[in-house]
Amino acid sequence: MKILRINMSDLTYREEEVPADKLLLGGRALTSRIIKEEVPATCHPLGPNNKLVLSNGVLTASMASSAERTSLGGKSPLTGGIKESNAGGTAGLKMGRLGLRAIIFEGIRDDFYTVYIDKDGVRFEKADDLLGKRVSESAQLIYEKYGKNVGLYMIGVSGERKMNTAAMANADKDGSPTRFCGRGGLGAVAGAKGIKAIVFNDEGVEKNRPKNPDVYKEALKQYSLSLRENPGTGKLFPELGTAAMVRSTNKLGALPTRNFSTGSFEHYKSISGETLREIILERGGEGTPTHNCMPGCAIRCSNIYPDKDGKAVTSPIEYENIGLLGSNLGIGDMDQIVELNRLCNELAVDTIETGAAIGVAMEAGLLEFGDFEGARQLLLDLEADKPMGRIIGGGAELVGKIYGVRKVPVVKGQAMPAYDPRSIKGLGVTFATSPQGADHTAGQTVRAQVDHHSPEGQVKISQKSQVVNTIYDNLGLCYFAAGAVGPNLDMLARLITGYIGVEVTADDIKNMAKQTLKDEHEFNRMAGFTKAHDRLPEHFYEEENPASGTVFDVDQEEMEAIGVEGNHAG
Amino acid sequence: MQVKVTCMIPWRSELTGDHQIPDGMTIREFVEEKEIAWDQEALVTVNDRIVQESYVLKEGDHIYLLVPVVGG
Ligand code: SF4
Repeated sequence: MKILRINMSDLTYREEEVPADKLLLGGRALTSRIIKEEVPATCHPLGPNNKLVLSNGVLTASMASSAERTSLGGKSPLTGGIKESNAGGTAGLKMGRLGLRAIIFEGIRDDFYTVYIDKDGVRFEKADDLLGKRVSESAQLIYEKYGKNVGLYMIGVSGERKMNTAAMANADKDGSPTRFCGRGGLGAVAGAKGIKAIVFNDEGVEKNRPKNPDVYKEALKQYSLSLRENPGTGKLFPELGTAAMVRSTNKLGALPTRNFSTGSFEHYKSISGETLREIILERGGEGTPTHNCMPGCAIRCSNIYPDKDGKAVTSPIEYENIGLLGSNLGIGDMDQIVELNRLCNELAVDTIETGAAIGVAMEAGLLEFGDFEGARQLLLDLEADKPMGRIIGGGAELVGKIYGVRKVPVVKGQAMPAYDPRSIKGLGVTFATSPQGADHTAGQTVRAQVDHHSPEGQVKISQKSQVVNTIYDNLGLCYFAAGAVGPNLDMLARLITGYIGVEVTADDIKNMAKQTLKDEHEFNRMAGFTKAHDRLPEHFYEEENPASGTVFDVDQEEMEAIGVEGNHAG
Repeated sequence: MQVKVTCMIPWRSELTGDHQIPDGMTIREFVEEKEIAWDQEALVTVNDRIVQESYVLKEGDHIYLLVPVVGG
């Protein structure tokens, strides 16, 4: 496995062997380690000293179910801290087949290039023809030029304009560019480096084979069986997808509604996983309620949403998007949510950040809650590069500052995903203390059979979840497999041992994750973060969520002990 | 003693309705009697709060069996 180092300023590259101390690092562990070691924490995120690191997980390209995720890392223009955002899709698989564990992009430039990588090396090609277009259109042009089977990453107009909400898209197994490294504005970092697209062509490359096939096969058998037998991964995700959460969070008073002013939504039924499935099945055509974003994923939580004529609109419709672009905006119509989701995908903006930004604009009275046409127009303004679009594209915190709004659901500048932290308090702790800013995938606690409304024990649960989530991010495994894997980390350790041929234990995996969290906190400390940043916005402590009757009241000192200054993550 | 159940797990919707249970039954005993694996197949609330396995059910309690997935 190699690390590819690309300098975008002078369009040169060199390959390096993965150094011995990084052999077991993948995904988030590797992006965060490289950022910590090579990027001055005080640098400007869009400047020449920031780097953008793409790293496969340790298991990526192994073809184990749900293991083809890739992490994107850098200093975030949104949070000013370290950032890792990962996604499924197919690009990681192609990158892995080309023998690459990671790619480090350095330098900046004003024009845009496609970075084309195949078995013979790297080519830089001017990307002028791809600029200013919707993501689906640019992807089409890439397929026409380089062939249908290439893997790709690309930014949209948001990244070209270096917006805080800019994401990086990659394609699902059907070539649809709808899987996003969405969080933290890393699409803007790519834009600053002049990277419009990265194309992987793995033609003529041997398939990756496990180094110790017997161990690998045995572990894979056990892993696949647990995915099949677990009710969540075997039945619920394939049937209802993540949207199955809507009814649960609504019941717990945690479904963000009208800029997180309450946690249950009167139209929750019409935006539930059950309704989503019904609509998709009824319309048929190109739609499907069960779909995998990458080849070989047995969980298949994804879906394709069809219009009334059965033509695919976009994919996937997920819980977070329903929450942020639906109930959070007072919008209770599935077709309308899907249209907003589709536009976000086309512009390659983070759906969570954008939904929260529009929610804050609604709070400011710029448009009414429930005003779908108004919300849609804001996204079209973003596309047309109008001032209003620039404002929304700056993210929720910026909108709040410009319009004097006090209630802005962000931590460290990053918008909260679709859980009111007053009702799922463990997630509140994660939002407050994660080096990533408000992020559910940094320490998901909602699945735990604990009283989420009580402040007791939440720091412990969050701390544990932060480690577990990091383990999955490091391995390139989809976190949705966690329900089936449970505490059985030995199974994952054997999978890795079999794949890379180096003995790895469950403790190694856990310690690596703890070290990743330490690396990230250390970078943030150097960037100027203190315990004052490990807090939720003030109103969550003072104003009750009417749906749950609770405020956020987890002990601050206890939280700080696992945050940036406490750094006892683990 | 009677408790009420709302089941959101699609393939167990028949559980929705009123159930007669013996005094002193815990929520975990009730859930397992219905052949739902505790802490695996459902997130369980009683009167809108997630409860511990040792919670002893009371007359009129409203149990929700929520789907145990996470969002992404
Ligand atoms: S579970 Fe869903 S998101 Fe995860 S790998 Fe499978 S299809 Fe992709």
